[in-house]
Amino acid sequence: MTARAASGLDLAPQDGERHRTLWQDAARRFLRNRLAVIGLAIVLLFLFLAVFADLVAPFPYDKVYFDRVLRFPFELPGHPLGTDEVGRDYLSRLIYGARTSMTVGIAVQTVAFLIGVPLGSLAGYVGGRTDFVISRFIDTMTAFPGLMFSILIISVWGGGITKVIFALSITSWIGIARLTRGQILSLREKEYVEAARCTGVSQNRIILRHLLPNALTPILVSISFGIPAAIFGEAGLSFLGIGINDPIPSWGKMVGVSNAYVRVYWHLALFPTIAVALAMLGFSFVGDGLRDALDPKMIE
Amino acid sequence: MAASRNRITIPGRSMARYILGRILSLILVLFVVSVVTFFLMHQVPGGPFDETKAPLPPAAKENILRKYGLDKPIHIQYLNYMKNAVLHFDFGIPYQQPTTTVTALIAKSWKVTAQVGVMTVLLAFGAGITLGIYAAYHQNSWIDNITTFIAMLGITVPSFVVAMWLILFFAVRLKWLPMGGWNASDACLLGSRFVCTDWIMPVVAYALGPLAIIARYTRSSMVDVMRQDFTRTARAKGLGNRAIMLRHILRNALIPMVTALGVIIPNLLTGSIFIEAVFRINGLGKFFVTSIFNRDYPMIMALFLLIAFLWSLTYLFTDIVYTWIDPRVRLGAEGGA
Repeated sequence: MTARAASGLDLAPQDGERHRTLWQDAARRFLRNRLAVIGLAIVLLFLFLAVFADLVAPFPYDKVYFDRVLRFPFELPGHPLGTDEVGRDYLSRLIYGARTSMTVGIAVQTVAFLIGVPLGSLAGYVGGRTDFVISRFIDTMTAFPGLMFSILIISVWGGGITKVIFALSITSWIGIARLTRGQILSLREKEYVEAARCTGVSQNRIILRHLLPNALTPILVSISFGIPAAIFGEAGLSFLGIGINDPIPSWGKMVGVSNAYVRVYWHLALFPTIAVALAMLGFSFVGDGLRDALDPKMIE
Repeated sequence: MAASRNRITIPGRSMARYILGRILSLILVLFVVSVVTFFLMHQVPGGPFDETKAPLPPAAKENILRKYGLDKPIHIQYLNYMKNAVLHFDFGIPYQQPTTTVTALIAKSWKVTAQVGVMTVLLAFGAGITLGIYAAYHQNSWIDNITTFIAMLGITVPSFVVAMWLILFFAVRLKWLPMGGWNASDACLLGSRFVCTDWIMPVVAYALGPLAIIARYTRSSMVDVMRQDFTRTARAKGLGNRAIMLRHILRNALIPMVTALGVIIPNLLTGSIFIEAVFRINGLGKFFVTSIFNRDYPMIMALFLLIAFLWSLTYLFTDIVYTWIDPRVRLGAEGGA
C-alpha cells in the first residue's frame, strides 16, 4: 500500500495488469490455502446434506423398525451405518442431523449479526452516554457464563430447535457487538469519513456506506467462527438431553444417548462424534482461511 | 493521554480505584445473575409439589408451600432468599433431597469437581507450555507439526467428543482403562486415592482444549520474543541458551499466558458438566444436570450463583494480574480505540 502510494500514486490498473477487487484478491488467497479449501469442501458437503436430506437419506429420520433394533453397520442390507436403539436407520439420522446443526449454526449467527452490528455501530459512532450504556451492558453480559445461561433458559422454556436457537442467541451477539464498536471507533476518525462528513453526507449514510463496509471483514471472520461455536452449543445442550427433542435427530443427542450403549454398540458413538468433529473442523478451517485471506497485513 | 500518564505515576491509588470499580461491577453482575435466574426459575411450568402421582389434600399442600415460602409473592421470595444466602450462607433445602441443605450437598460434591479441575489445569499448563516451548524452538520440525495438529484438534473438537473417542479406544477396544467413575476403589492403585486409572481419561479429555490454547499461545509469543532485539543482545553478550531461554524469553513470553488463563478457567467451570456426564462422575456438574431435570430451584440457583461468582472472580483476578505484571496496560482507559 504505502510503497504504491509513494511511487507516484498510480492507483489505476496498469495496462496488462487486470483490475482485481478486494473480494477477488481474497478469493484467490483463500483458494490457495489448502486447509481452507478442505474446510470449504466439508462445509459445502454438510450444507448440501442439510438442504437435500429428504433426497439423500435412504430412510425418513423417524421411521422405526421394531425388528431391526441396534444393528451393527453392514449387518443388514440397506443400513450401512446400522440402526439405533429403537430401530431407526443411523445413516439417515446422521444426514438429517446435519440439517439440525447447520440450521442452528446459521440461525444463531444471523441473530448475532442482526443484534450485534447495529448495537456495536451505535455505540461506536454515537459515543457518549449511548456508548457508555451499551458498553456496560456488553461488559455485564460478558461476565455471564454463556453456556450455563443457555442451559438455564432451555430448562425453563423447554427444548426444541427454535428454543435452542433462542437460548444460544442470547449471548452470541456480544462478541460481534464489541468487535463492531471497536472497528467503528477506529474508522470514525479516518480522513475519508471526515471528508464525507464535511461534504454533508448524512449520519446514516456514513455508517452504512462508509464505515460498515470497511468494518465488515473482521465481522465476517467472527461469524465464520461463531457458526461452529453455535453448532457446539446445540450439540452440547442436546448431549445433556435438554436440547433438540425426539424424534428430530441431533448429533449431540445421538452422542449423549450412545453413552449408555457404548460398551457394545460402538457405532452409535463413533459416527455422530465424527460428524460433530468434521463440522467443527470444517468451519474452523474456513474461518482461519477467511481471516488470512481478508487480513490486509497478509497482502504480499 | 495525559490522564493515563498521570494515573501511572500514582500506581497505588489508581490500582485501588480500578479494583474497587471492578468489584462493584462484579457485585452488579451477581445481582443481575441472581435476579434473572430467580425469576426464570419461577417461570418453569410445574412446581416441585405438583400432584401428578398422589394428590395432596389442599390443607397439606398449603402447609408445604408455606414451609418452603412458596406462598408469598415472588419478589418477597427473592428478597428472603438473598437475605439468607448472603447473611447466613443458607441457600435453602434441595427439593430432591429434603433431609439435607443445599450448602451441605455442594460441600459434599465440590471436592470431586475441584480435583478434576486442578488435575486438568496442571496437565493443561504443564504439557501445553512444554509443547509450546519445544515447538517454538524447533519450528517446522515434526514436534512442531504434531503440536499444531493437537492444538487444532483441541480447540475445535468439543471435549465430550474427545471423551467418547478415548472411551471407544481405551476402554471398549483395548480395555486398558475403566469406562468412567472417579476414585472407584477397583481403579485406584497403591491403596486408594493415590493413583487411580479412572482419572486418566476424564483429565485428558478435559485438558485437551485448554492445553491446545496454551500450546498455541506459548508458541506464538515465544516466537515473537525470540525475534526481539533484547534476545539478540543477550545472545551477542555470549549468554548461554538456557539463560537466554529462562531469563529473557520465557519471562516475557509468559505474560500473554495470563490472558489465556482468563479464557480457560471460566470455560473449565462449565466444561465440567460434560466431562462429569460422560464419565459418570458425581461432582457439581452432574448435580447441575440432575437439578435441572428435577426442577430443583434452590439447587440450580445456588449452583448458578456459585459459577457466576467464580466466573466473574477469575475475570477480575486475571485483569488485575495482567495490569500488575505488564505496566504497558493502561488502567481504566478504553482499550478498543
